[in-house]
Amino acid sequence: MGLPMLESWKGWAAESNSLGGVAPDAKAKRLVCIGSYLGLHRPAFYPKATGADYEVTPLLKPVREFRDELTVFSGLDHRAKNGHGAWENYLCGQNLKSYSLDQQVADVIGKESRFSSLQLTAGKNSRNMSYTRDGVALPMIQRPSVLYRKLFASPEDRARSGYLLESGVSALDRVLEDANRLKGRVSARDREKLDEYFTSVREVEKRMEKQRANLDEEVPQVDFELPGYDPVAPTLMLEAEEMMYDLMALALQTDSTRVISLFLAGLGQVFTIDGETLQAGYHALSHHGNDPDKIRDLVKVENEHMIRLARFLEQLKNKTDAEGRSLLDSTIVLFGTGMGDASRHSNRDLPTLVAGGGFQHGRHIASEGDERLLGDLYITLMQQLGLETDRFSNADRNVNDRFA
Amino acid sequence: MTGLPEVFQKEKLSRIGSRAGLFAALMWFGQIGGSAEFPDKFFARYCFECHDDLIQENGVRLDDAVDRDWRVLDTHHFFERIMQVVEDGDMPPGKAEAQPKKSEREEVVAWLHENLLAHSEVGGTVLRRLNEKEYTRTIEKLFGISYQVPDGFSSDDRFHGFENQGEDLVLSPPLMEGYVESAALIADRLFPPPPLPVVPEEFQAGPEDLVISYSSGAVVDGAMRLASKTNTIARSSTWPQKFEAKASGVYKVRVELSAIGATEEPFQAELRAKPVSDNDFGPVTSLRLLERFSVASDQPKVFEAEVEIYEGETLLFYFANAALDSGNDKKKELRAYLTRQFESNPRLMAAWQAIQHGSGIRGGVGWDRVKEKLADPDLDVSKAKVASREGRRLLDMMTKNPVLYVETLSYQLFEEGPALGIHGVEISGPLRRVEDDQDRERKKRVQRFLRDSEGGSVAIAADSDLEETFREFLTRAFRRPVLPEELAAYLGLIEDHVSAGHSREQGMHLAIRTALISPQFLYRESAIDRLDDWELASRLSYFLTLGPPDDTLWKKAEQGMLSKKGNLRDQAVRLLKSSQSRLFVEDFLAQWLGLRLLEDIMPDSRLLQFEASDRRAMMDESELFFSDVLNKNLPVETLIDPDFTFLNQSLAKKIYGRNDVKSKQMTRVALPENSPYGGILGQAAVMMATANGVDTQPVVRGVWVLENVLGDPPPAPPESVPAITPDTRGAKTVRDLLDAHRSEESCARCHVKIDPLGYVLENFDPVGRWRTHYPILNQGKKGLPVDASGVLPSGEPLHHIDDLKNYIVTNRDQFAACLAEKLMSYATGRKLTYSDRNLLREIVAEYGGQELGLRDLILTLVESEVFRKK
Repeated sequence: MGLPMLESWKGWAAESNSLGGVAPDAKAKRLVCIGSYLGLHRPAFYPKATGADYEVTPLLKPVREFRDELTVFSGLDHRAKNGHGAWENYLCGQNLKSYSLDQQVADVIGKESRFSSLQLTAGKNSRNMSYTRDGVALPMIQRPSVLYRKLFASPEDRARSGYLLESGVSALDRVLEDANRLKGRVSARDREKLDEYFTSVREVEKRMEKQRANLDEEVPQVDFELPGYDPVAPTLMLEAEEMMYDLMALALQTDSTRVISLFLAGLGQVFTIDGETLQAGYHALSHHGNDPDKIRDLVKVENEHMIRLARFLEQLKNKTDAEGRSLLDSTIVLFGTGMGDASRHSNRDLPTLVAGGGFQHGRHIASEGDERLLGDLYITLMQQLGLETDRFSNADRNVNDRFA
Repeated sequence: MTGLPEVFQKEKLSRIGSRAGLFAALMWFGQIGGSAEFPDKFFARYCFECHDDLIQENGVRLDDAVDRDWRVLDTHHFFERIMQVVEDGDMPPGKAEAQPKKSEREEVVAWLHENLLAHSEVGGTVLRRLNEKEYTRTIEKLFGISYQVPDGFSSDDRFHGFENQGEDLVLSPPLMEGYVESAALIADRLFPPPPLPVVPEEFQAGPEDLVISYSSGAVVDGAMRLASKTNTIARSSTWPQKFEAKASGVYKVRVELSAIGATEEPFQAELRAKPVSDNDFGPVTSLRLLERFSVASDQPKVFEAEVEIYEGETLLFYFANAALDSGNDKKKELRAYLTRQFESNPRLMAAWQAIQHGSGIRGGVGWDRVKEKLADPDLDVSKAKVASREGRRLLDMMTKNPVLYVETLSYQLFEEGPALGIHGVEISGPLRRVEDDQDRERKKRVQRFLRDSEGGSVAIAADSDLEETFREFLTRAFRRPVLPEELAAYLGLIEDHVSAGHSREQGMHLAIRTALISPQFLYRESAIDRLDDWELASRLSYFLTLGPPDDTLWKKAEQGMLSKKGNLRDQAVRLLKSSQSRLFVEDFLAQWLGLRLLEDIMPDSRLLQFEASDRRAMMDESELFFSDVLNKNLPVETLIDPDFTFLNQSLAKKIYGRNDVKSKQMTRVALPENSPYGGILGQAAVMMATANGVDTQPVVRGVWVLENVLGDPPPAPPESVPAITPDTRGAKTVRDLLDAHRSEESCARCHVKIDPLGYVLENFDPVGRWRTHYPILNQGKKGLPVDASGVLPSGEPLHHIDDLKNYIVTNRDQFAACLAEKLMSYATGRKLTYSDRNLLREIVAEYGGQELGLRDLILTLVESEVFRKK
């Protein structure tokens, strides 16, 4: 880690583009996108009934207390390709490696906070989830200790960053001299090319000055104890997931960031749940081939995801933002996946849940056969966040008629 | 010759080397002068009907052509395109009433040729930023380290197929910030910040605190049990979930182990050092072996050792002589194991025969299924004979996919043994700090950087040492002698930093990261017209080795030799012989043949079972083949029509249907007389890169051949034209769909060139296998027959890939000029100008009918003005 507490260059877009404005009276202020690599077993997640009177399914049981603060969507997808690799369509829409939902939002509403967005993973991320406007995949933080240091830097880290920034500015001054010397002896066309260099150096210099100023600002104090180890062992993924949620709630509460994405990995780890070790690895379970025992164990793991999601929602509900509103009320939490059925690697009909964010919740909304896309839901989410947009990937409608 | 307009059948002017001669001849006869008039009469007479200000068909207007500005590159492209269609006889179209005479065409072509030459120069590369590959390799060479740019580094764009083109290597603020970050990381590799103090710890873990993945282990009766020796970490090993060494040091390790189901041979329990954050799919044997314990008793026993664990590592357990192994190369062992098991226990075999096989049998769930059958008193054991047909079938199935079945077989051993039991782990330390590999490497780097043979003492006594160190470093970093004022400025930077209260090391850290973001480091080729010796050294070196000049090249530049004729050629000969030229072959082919696309293509599983090793073998084939032609200086047309290729057993069998290649390694093999394979038009990698993994698109391949083999790229299609959607039911071939698509005349003009080249490659499926029928994937059966026939615009009929190969071999110079253009575009980092390309055509034409070897071609090009000019 070069500069442990500074936001990386990915925040650039926030300053360098204008995606249209953000409406001042937006109902939602923050966006959290959670992506489960192996998805959710749909028969255990989707209620049979639609509307408000749906029955609580096994995977909705852990979040039943939030029934009126969440909505279940079925039948949505991006009409994208199938396969593990195509998982990445989750936030990108129909085309892989394109400007992801979270980044589109971060580039508009992320400017005000210290980090325009954060990309996190519980477990080793085998896929990317967030992509910049230019289609560059953003790396994810896997270690809670690294996230903690980034958010609430230790004095040593701050000293190191301060030193690198301060001396870095003199390095930039020095290379501007090199560039001026070079400029004096090249052709007119090369001088034009060198302008890119001058502009870039000056921009970076400004940015580093700003970061130096930020260093002196108070780093938020939080009540969180980092354990003596990082849960990077594959079998500790659920523990990592829990810690990430805790830190995410703190990051939102301290307004360190307003946009977070969290990847939930799914490799071969064999989990022990309530003292009982499952009979096969998570990934093998997802290839259940309709074996009832494997499905049972798969749903057990997915149930653990939902338990952690419920804890996260509870934390958001109990915390308030600067305006005194419940964080949950002003934060859209999207829980979804790019995988509709991991057993068949199908990326159709992606199980999706939206909580918080000031919507009228409490229903199961099925979109069978009415041509509505997952991107249409994303448009509604973006509008709720105050973005003036009516397109996302291959979608150009919205779901405002049924979800507002 | 069916259905083609007459105009396409007429003989076209021979393009190569003829224009200049024609022009001279016309001059001689006084038909046109040196200041020949703009051919507006020709345009008015034959073109304005469709291409004036009112109609502008296809966006082309010629009425204002006379006013076009030659300083704009677009003008060149415009007139070149006009020249091409007039020369080929494509325009005016056959339906037009007024048709120019041959001499009229020649006159216009000659005029355009003269003006294109007069208005373009040889050269014109714009200042080139190092691309990501070059940057990485330059850092590696400069510091003697292996390096990877940090995550999220902006990637480079590609420009007409190449990713090293000056014009397109843009520098943006985010990338600059990436360079700043990267420079600090690199400087840290020499002079890192001092480590934080670490307090020794006591760590304990029970069997439940160890990692299980797939079927690597299970806790039974208070012990973590291992039963497989598969050489993949995640499939056989375990380690404490919560231990990670915070500092490199000696740790005391106490482990309690037992041999469950002990055999005569003691169990080998290996302790290895596993970096916590590394991928868990690497080989166990690549991890540092710390200790090996012999475990003979089924009673738990404590073993102790003091071992070196480095920062970020944990302690991994591996059962080195376990009974099971799911390695794909261990299928025989697995078969022998199963045979022993089943022969001694026919009931077990009967149970395995009785269960439902499929993806449900993975892991403990699978073993439960087998146990249910074992407990069934009515289990039919009559067919449980290894030697029977049913027995063999079971063994075949179980050994075909070892990963799946070993996951289940392991659970039997977890219960019954032989299994290595781990009852508890204690780790305490560090007892004392040790140098780890990184520390040792760093010491060497510092030594090298300070040019200190004594032992890498960081304390540098005299300022003169520092001056020498940085004179050398900056000279290498800037790839030319550092100027005295530059050196002084960098030394001043260090001095100021030290006066401000920082250490010498910090001062050097700062100077290094400054140099690495200087334009002198990030850019190359800043000359105005001709490259000087230093820049020639770099151009040649980056061309043939992807990195900065080596010592020999450096010396030649110092002596001012490279700008003198012949020396560059000698250096190129030397570099091409060196092992580094492999990088040139890889990188050039990745870009020219588009082989880098292979990584993003996953062939449809209904076509074939494709593995990563197949992809590697395909690329190896193309690279080894090109290298062989290069090293042996075989004629360039060998690239098209060779009688050999490189294969290994698997590639030969899977793609080329050959059972006679036995070698596991890639090896040079002869191609049978009538083989359609071989050469860049018959190689799996190229055929796969020009398809999408599912079906073939003749247009894509046709355009590819035009652009990369014949040097005659068609213009981009109009945006309004939709791509063809393949008919997956198999009722129509791509050809049917395309022919319909071609009924529009404006489409036909290009497609008449593109389509026959695509059709003739239709016999190669999306992974390069020969086919005579299209498949219907969903039904797994044969569809319509492949029709590869077509007619080239020159009238040449094509029925079979051999016809195309013959055509290209006959028109060698056209292919050679195209190859020369690609090589020089790659080497010089620019889209070649008309004059550049004219020069290349002349170079090729000079060979006349003589043999033109690939290496000779490269060497000639390196000496040419195209290469020597910026």
